[in-house]
Amino acid sequence: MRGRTRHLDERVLALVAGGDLGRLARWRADRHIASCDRCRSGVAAYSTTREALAAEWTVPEADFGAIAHRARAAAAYAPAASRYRRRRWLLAAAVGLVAWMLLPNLEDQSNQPPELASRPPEAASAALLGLDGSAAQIGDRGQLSVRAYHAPSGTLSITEYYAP
Amino acid sequence: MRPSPVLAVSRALAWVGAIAACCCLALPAVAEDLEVSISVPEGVPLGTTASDFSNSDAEARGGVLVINLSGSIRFENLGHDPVRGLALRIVAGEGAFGGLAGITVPSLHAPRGDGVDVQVSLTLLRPLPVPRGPAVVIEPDSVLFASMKSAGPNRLGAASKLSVLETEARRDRAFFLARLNSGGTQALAAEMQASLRRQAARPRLSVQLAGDGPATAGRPSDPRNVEIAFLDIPGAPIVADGGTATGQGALWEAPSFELRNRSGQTVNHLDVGWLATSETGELHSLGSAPLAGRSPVPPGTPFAAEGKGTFRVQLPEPAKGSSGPVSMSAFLRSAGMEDGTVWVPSRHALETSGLIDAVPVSAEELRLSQLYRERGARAVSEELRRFAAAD
Repeated sequence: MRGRTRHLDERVLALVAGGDLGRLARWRADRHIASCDRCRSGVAAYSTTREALAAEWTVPEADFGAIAHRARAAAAYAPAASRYRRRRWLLAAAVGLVAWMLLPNLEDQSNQPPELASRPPEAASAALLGLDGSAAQIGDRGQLSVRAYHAPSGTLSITEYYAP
Repeated sequence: MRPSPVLAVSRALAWVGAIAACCCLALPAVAEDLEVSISVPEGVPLGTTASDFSNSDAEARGGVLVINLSGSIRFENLGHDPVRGLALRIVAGEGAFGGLAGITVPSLHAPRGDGVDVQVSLTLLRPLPVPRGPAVVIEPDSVLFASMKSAGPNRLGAASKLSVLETEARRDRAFFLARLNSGGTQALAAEMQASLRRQAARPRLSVQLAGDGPATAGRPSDPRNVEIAFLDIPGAPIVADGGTATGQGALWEAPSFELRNRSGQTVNHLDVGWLATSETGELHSLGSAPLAGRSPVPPGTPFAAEGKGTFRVQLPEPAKGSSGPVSMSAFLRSAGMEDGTVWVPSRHALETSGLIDAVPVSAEELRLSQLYRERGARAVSEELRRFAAAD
């Protein structure tokens, strides 16, 4: 409808800021942004955040064994729906292919910090790194604690190692 | 008839081989048959509905069994009060270094009949030989409900921790909800991005337990005492009349304080934040100052809170190689009051004191910002409204 401004959604703003939109979508977004202060400031905010994160967020040292453990635990934890999944794999593949064709330039997630970035093997004697890249924090009883986010359930857990 | 020497040697070799084979078979048996026991203490209205630790393993290294515990547990809330937080106590070898751990899950909303899922991924040590019985015992140590009441044996002192986490969570949810209500999803997204920038910019350091027994790293050889500046946050029920920390280089003993309860009621538990300043002037959060003698503090009473434990504090790259922290400061992080309420610094106090850039964001802010990274501002907005309806 003419006369009404329809703003770009948040995902598109983020993709514009990262230069990750396809050519046609980018052209359409640029046309809109040229005449829309709100979306322009949205893109600017994402760009600032992106630059700050790129400059300052170093990927913490990760224990890939622990990550593999977590991945296996997550896989084991998934409800027993394998038969359902088997029946639907063709549909999922088709949807995935269409999504891949429509959104070919989605931001590469590989440079994000791993979900669990702790080094628990030597327990309390090790240098532990938390989810936000911070080191382990000392607890009120002298224990060391690290925090991890579990994306599927949206919960955060705090693991603590106690000295005897 | 006497057997020939060749036959005797063959028999001996066969026996040696059989014994070696038995030993080889026995070791993996320890590793594969890792028994994990989950018990719910009396009085805790939770039931265990599912658990899976089949991906866990263990191996003997030197005199200890290293247990990689990996799995999940689903508890069901059998009570009437919604569960808001859960802390588990996980024991492999009580009294052994690395034998005791805990997992705390805050910011839950599980009404009666709902499940509470806990992911477990940690490594424990258990001295060898391993006695009979389960290798690992897991039990709910404390459960916090929406009414701020708690249940459980509380052997790790998790009840107060859960109530502090929940109070911080309510404070931060209210802050973000106010932003959402005043500026819409865009304002919420801006706050989430600001939080992520703060997390990324926060200086990092490494803290290790140095131990305080004779066989460990020991105490600083030529220690120096530093005065600790205590930030006076308006409205804080506890103030410090003095504080000192003893250490040298990177090795520091937990600080001690002369504290005073200036509120009108008894403080049941308190948590003092511990900060170190590097040579470059950066403020680093070490976490909490572990204090001995955690008995309730009556109003108006000055009391000495002695630090316990020795820690190795490694400052991040720019200051590495320096003599460690040059000064230290502290602030009241939380206080549990006699009437059941919990005091935590307000967002305004954190911002005006500059603590917001030095201390880690709260568990809830971290969770919400991760939710934002994963699913966007709309998901965070839905989460805030879900809790607003329940709070």
